[in-house]
Amino acid sequence: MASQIFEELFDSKARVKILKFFFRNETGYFDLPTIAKRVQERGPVVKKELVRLLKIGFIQKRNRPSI
Amino acid sequence: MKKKIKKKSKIKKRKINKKSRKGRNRRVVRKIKRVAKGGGGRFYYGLNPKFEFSNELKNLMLTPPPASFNRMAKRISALGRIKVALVSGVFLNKENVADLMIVGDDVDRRKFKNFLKSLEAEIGTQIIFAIMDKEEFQYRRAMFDRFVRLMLEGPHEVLIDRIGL
Repeated sequence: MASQIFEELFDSKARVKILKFFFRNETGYFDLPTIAKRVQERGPVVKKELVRLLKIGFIQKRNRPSI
Repeated sequence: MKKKIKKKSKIKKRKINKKSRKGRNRRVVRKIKRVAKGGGGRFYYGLNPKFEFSNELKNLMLTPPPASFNRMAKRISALGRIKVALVSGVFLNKENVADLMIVGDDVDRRKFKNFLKSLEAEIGTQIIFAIMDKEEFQYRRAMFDRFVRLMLEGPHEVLIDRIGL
């Protein structure tokens, strides 16, 4: 139920799952295919959300994975 | 007349094929260059520690959703002849040896795998789980098995209970 509330509030199921994914893996850095696989969404959808989250500074990117 | 046209179209086809092959080669070369440069030309995304609302948003998103347990119980019931299902760990934001314990006979492994995958996607992390049949569970419980004891006595939420825990 609660997750449905978030889906409505944030307007996107994928975005909710991506947000949760990052909070559950706070110190990790992951590439696009990994994130898409872990949240069970298609690559382009995830990419779109990542670009948005980058823009507002919620996440950051680098070219080195988590250790 | 007809023959001429046929010939022409064949030539065109070959040209197009050649073109696309060239394009592919170029793409491959570009990729190799990128990889050789280091970093694999790939970006890795992670939380930005400077984001102002991180803590507030995290508290909001990761609070345990009690109502969703109902839906989960229904989905678990469909996996086989389930006797007991209880959640702990990530589902309650508490520490425990496992996050999910299912006791049941004839649990459909493939169905369970799919269920687990979608659950992990929703929760956002891997789930530590245990499945056992009723006999094993009762044996373990009778001999005060550490794992079963920790699950039953630690923080947990019972989703399904058909044997009267």
